[in-house]
Amino acid sequence: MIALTIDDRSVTVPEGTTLWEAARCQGIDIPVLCHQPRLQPVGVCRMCVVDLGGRTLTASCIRTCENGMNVRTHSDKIERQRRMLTGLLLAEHPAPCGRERTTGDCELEALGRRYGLLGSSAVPGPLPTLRNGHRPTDHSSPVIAVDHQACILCDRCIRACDDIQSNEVIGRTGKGHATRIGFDLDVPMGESTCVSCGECAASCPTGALVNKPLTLPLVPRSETKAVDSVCPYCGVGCTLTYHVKENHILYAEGRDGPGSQGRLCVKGRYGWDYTHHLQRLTVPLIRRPEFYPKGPLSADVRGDAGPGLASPFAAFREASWDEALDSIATRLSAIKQAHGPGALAGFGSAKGSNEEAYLFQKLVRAVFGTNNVDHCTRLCHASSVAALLEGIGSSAVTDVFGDVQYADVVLLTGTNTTANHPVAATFFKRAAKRGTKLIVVDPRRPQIADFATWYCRLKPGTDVAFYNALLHVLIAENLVNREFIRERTEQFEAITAVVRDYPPERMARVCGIEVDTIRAIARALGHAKNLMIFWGMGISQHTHGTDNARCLIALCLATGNIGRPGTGLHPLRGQNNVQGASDAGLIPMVFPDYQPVGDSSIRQRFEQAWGTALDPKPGLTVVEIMRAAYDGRIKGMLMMGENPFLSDPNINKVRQALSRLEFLAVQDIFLTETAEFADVILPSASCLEKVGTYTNTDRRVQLGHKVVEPPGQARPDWQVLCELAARMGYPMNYDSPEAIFAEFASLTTSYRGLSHAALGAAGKLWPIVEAGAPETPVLFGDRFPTQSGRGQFVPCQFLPAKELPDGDFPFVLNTGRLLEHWHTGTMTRRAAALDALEPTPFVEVHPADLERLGMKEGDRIRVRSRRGDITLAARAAVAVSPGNVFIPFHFREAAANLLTIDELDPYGKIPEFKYCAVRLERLK
Amino acid sequence: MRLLARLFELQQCHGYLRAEDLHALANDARVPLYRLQGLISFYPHFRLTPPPQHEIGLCRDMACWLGGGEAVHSQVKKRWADELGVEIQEVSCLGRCEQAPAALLDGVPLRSRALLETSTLESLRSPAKVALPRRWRCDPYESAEARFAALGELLELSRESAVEKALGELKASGLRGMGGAGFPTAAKWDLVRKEMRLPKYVICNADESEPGTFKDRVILDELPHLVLEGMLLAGFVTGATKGILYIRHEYEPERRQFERALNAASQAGWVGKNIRGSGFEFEIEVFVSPGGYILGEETALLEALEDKRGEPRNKPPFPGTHGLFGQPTLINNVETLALIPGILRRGADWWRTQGKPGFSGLKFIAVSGHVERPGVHEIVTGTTVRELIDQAGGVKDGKQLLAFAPGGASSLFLPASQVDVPLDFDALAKAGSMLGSGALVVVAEGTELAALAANVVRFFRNESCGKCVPCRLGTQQAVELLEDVQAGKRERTALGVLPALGETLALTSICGLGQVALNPILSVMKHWPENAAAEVKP
Repeated sequence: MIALTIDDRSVTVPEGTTLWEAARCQGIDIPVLCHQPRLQPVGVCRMCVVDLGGRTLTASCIRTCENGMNVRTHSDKIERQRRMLTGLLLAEHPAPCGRERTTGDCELEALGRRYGLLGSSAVPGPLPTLRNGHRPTDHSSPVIAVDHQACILCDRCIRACDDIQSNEVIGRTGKGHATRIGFDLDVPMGESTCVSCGECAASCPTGALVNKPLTLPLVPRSETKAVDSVCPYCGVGCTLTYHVKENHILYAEGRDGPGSQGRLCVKGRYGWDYTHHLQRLTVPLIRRPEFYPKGPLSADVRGDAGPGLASPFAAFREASWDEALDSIATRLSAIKQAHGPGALAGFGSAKGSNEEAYLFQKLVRAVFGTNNVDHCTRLCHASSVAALLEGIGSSAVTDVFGDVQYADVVLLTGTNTTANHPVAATFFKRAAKRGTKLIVVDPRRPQIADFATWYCRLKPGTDVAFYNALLHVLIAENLVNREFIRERTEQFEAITAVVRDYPPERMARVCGIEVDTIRAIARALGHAKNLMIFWGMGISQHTHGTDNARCLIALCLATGNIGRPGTGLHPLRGQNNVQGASDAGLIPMVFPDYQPVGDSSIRQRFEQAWGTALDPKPGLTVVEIMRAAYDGRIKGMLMMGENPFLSDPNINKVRQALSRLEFLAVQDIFLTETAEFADVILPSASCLEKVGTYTNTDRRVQLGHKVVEPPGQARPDWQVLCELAARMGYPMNYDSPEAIFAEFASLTTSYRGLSHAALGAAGKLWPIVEAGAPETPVLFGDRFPTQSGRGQFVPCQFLPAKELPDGDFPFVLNTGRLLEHWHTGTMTRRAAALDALEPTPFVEVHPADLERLGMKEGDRIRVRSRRGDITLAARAAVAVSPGNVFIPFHFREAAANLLTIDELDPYGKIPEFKYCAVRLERLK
Repeated sequence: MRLLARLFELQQCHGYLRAEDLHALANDARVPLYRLQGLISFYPHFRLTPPPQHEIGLCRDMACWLGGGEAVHSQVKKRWADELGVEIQEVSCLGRCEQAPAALLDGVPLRSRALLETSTLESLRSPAKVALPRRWRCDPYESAEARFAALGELLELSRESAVEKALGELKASGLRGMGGAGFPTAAKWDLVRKEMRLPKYVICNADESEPGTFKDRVILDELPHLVLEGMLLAGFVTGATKGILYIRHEYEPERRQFERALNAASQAGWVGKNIRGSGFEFEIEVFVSPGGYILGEETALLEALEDKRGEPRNKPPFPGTHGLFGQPTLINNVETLALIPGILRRGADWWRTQGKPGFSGLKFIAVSGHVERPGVHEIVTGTTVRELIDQAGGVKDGKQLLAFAPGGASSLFLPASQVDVPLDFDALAKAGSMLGSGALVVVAEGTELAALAANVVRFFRNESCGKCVPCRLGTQQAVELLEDVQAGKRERTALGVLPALGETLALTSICGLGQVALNPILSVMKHWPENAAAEVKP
């Protein structure tokens, strides 16, 4: 501890405390412009100078306390300097600046008022306005307005971009009085590598970097209603605060939380205005008789079937809620009556809340009488879940992503983290900058490879060969953790026998990674003190997705890296609530908390709780249900927030399947591509318009609050589900989502100790078995929840993808997502900023391939597979290797899933979105 | 050093930095683009457009201004600006003040007037003939063979006693740093020696760039072996194994001279691994500054060596404990290091007897401005300004002395009445100025002092790195104010804000540049209140 005197007060502080912090703890306010507690100090604005009795004054933000210091924080002499510094800055400042005119919190102008240099009572400033101070503005970014004249070069944006987000775009350019902030090689912000996370604007003290309005003009926080909530996009589940006025969100700000720590990405910060979009569904709709027999309506959804309706709304008439709900109840009941419960199915959504996921599966199971209930987890991590349940008895992550700070080696495989989990990526990048070795494996080079020690451009679909080769080296060089294997695992001999046939010398050719690299990586894994593995869809979305995940599990088990902070397995969850929707039982084989429907004692418990007999037979999965609809075995469906027309593979088949459904009801916030096939459409409240809980990738259950009122007659899905159940003869009475949560939690182990009240502002990690029990970020320190308590090695053989390229279809197609868009684009393409950033579909082609085909960047190109074709713009990209192309699947006008193959992984039943054969055709 | 070195190489390749090369470099070196932009926009050496056939740099600063630079340079511009392939720009002090007004043609220093006396620029591109080395009192070596004996002597002893002996002599000599701040050298060495963390570095600061200052240039040119030996001794005493000579890019002839000496010393076994079989290891590298006065500030210099923008660090910590790459680092000025072999060879007693009564030691002073024979003089400490002006041939054209600055542009101007002040750290401080960088600038009657001071303030404005608010904005305000008053756009009373502004710069700037930037004008306002109130003409 350090003892010193501040303004005649004796103070004791921990070593390393800065003078500014020490004073702040004493309630002494020292003005500062260039510092924020979350940033490393730089001491450039000099406003925080204090007097230590020396020749000069000292910047308190950057000077650490020393024993015996005698500090004076305020005196005439000091205030004189602060006033002069404020005057110097104001002399060039365009008051009122863009920040003062919007959120009203320009920190410089506040100081100007404090020192009497601004405002009606202002005494003349010490200095006149500089005449050559005119600096440019930059409006090239769709989300941030740049005014260099208002910039005071505090470097806060630089540190926000660098140290907090690790996007590394902003720096100082020029020298002396001509210094400015610049983006990349001093290009306009909108043309730079900026990813529009907005952290810079959130850090800026003046009007230099200011958010552009997305709805109504921005106003000070004091004039808004601030609502704390959770971001509706990815599984990171960032906490934020929405500022609302006149039932419109004006802006969103990061809110400190255990996962995201106040950070946001472009979607979270700027992607919420979809909720105010004019195309929102506001009344129940019933299909007009003239639009039978059913089929797609709009040109994009009709595909080759000729021109469609300009607006699909024309095919529907408005109806009352009673009429719409009665119609659904009657039609579904009739199908059940005529064809049995197995002719019905329901798709829930990972976008909905836990409460709604629970209610939806309860409706399907208890009222429809079938287990034909599934959701987009099937397209996402179903294979990972299968492998994890088999290998370690639980599908949840074994450690939270923030614990990457404790890992010295991290494997990121099949995850384009900066695009799909951008805020989690900031933690990975920071760890890498602090010395953690990143191993990045992906056929398409993800941006995070810039931070990697090794980047492996694996040949697509050869994951098992690669990981078996790593395991081969680990075993051959005795880099495995024998004690862990002995004490905690089973079947090591079996896997040893299999990987014996996978020497790196042979596998190098198969997977395209050099022998030395395979060995070096294996050694890094073997020597790691703490190894953590993160993966995404690049692992799971294969016909051998479960095998891929099994290999990753084997790596952790073999090296004993599970059960400690900074170790373990973390499949990065895609949707904001894909973890929670699965936890809540929105999958065909299990009740809530992964309790198998086939287990009679478990089933009895649910029959008792729900007061009805339940189907013992596991239901069909997403793609199987579509096949059954195609075959006429499924006749009636309810879809809540799911859009299989764009998200499922081989859309031409999906189109027919949806057309053939006898009855389809859709609950959604927009008239989606799938809703065009509906008989009845119900307007739902968006995430931002209702209360509910969402479980993020870390297993953190967080409460989302109602931010704005739903438009028109739109209702929260849970209310609609209750109404439907009642009309189908099964009353479900809940007065709030809280009550639904209580019922759901009581039927689980993992959530049993949780309630809305217990979640608080920060949420809670499950499992919480008893109310008030502490959180467990790291699972399985002693045993695995398998039958034997041991982890299972499951050996896998390398199998090629289902559709390999050939002479007719020589390219491998990979599909995936973009930073700016989400899934089927329903929300993000209606968010003005996101749409402006990535407005149109494209296919990434290697420049060498483009040249060979006689095409150039921007050319329209037809991509054809055995199942369909789309036309879109070519984008030259070295991220893909020659012979490979990548298409994001968000765009209805060039839907990538028209091309993809509906082959499934035998265990996870996940389709092979990451691999099919296509050819590129030049347009005449 | 790697990144800047690669930028140097790239510029060498094409004459300028091409955007595609910068993208490739960022990719290859795995640094963000903005870092490269930060460097190339900060350092004047780098250019983003193809170079002209001939590049003329004209010095605009104090000594050249006093030497009639404005008139000569406007003639040079008139003569050459319209010539195809010729690019002319004004540059900061080139450290050739005795040739004032001075210029640089394609990197080769020359008198600006030479540009008016020639019909082709090609004929001027061969460097000027180097004068024969003079004999300097501080050099203890009679012949080239005798050099490095001070180090050789220490290497004979046990390490412990050698270090003790060297530090003892240094301490007894009372030698202080000759770069401007005057910190006791022995104490600085001891501080670095006591640091346990390895590696340690020794840096010779040869980035002399203050207007009127060019003594280090002459030392590098004529006594490079003493600078080298000083660095070796510093390495030996502090336990450093790596030395870096940080030299400004305008000192190209002097760099070559130093490297010749370095090669000779290496061949003789005085540099490298296991020096003369003693087990002592010391490598020396020459780093050419990408430019800017501020790089002479020791922490800005360190930032440049770390491939960053040369912006001074907040201190503490000081380089002695947290220097290059956070490691203990000794940074000494060229002159300081050059004086040490003599002190160790001849003893502290010899050094102390070198000064005038009451003073001790030798000092190199660059004399410029209005004197008959500007140049570098090696004086005994305590020599008065009057005596030194006499040594330099007296005030030019027999004029009366008006004012002088004893320590370069950043020292305060003193009136002629103080001409008998001895040149010494303490005596000058007492007189209200400073010995500074050892540069006596002589100003003859008839000079408009406010205009001279404005010229100096403009220099500091031009050379401010821009990191901290007071310096970045305060120097600009001061320059605009002075120019406005001169142009009649503002009342002279407007200058009344300068003392308060000067106080803020002095008290709150991060480094010495900002702290002293307004000194010249403030000293003129103090000693010549009537002059300051008069019309200010640059």
